[in-house]
Amino acid sequence: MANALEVNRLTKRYKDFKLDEVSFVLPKGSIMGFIGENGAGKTTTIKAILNLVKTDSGSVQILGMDNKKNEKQIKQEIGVVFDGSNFHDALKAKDISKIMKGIYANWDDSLFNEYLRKLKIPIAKTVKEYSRGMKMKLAIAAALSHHPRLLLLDEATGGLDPIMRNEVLDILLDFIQDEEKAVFFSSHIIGDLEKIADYITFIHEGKIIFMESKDDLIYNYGIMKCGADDFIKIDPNDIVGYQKNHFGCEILVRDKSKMAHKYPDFLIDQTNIEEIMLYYVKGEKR
Amino acid sequence: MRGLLLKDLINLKTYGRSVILIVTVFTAFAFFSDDSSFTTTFISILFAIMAITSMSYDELAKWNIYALSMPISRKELVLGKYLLAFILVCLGVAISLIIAVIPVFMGNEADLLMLMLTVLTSGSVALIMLTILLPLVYKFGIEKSRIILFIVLFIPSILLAILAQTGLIMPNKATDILIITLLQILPIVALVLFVASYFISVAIFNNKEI
Repeated sequence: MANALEVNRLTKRYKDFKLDEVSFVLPKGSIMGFIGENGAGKTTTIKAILNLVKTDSGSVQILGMDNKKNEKQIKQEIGVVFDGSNFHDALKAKDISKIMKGIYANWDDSLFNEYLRKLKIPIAKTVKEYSRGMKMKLAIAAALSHHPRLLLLDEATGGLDPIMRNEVLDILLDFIQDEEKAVFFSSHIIGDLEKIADYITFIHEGKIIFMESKDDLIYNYGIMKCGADDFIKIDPNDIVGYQKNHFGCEILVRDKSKMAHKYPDFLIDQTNIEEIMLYYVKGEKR
Repeated sequence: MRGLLLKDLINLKTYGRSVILIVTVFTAFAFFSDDSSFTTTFISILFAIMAITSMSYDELAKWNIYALSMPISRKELVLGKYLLAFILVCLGVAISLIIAVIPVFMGNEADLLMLMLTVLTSGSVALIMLTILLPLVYKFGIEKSRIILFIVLFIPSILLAILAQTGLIMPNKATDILIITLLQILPIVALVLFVASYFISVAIFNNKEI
């Protein structure tokens, strides 16, 4: 069992939205970034993985177990952080420790305290007095303190300032040092993902556009530049997406070195995940 | 389950302090009046409402979706809330009982059995209120249920008031005995309805998309 998470043709229909045969695989020992614009289906996918919504078809394997048949056992072994804190205003860190001890078989008080210290979370205050960033850090500390094997984070770095974000990313990198563990991490802060993700899965309008290793993405994709007149010479199959401007066309292409061979007259620039995402979503297609 | 109950009790701590204050005030009030039934009913309802308050805290924190990402099933989540509700009602009944009985030991003339019956009736009323309310909260959420709460509480009282005004029910020996018999079985009826309500809530919650 080499995969921490396998999602297989997951489909869920709503009136005005459809999660359409979503599939991807997260190997152990790695971090996957799950990107897509707001409303693309990121949270719905995570809810479906957690069996919080009823799906129409497809299956999910978490740590080699079926997410419906072995739900309880799976949930003992995963840590989840949602967008925003889910702890009540009146609670303090030590209350959370007491509550979690009653819920998780493997809850580790000393580990929780260690994370509180590492993330500089104030223990004397109630959740109500926390900033949004503090709440997020508390939720992350709580998600890590029952020795989970898989972490699912939904927009968990959203409210954090750059320094806090770095602290959290370091904790995630630390967590993944154990090759048996994995992190699934949805975000639209691409910078975070570029920093720590091994794989990027991109969802757009309920469909998976690609699932690739981050390095392949950055090295293989490129932006090809040509004049407006030259544009028609380019094979439509080579165009992932394009944008026209006053000076000509910018085209997102997949296999950068092959394209450089095929179209020696055109300049091909490096690209990044944010650009790739923009071209897929906003760019025109031919 | 232990974690869920603990979570609710910790969250209700501050609220509980104000309840204790109110209870103290009303206890003083009960000492000076002959009839403690108002106080006992009031206290029972007050404690029952604490269960609903804990649900609004949960809703505010978006707790349910989080809890379901933990090793807690939907059924257990509902069961935890029903256990809390039952514990709170029992606590309300126990406190009411003490308040009702103290004047008797201080020398007031009163029928002890009648007092017990009054207290148990108010506890049953509180339980029946929750029996109706909890499934509604699971179905419609706390905001809409708040309006329904008022309807659930006020319509019966208004109906009773009108009924009493019209003089349709003339108190006499026969109706008294009938009412007392009915009141004696009321706690059992309330308990059965409460258990049935739990199963309804589980069914509602199972079909709900979080």
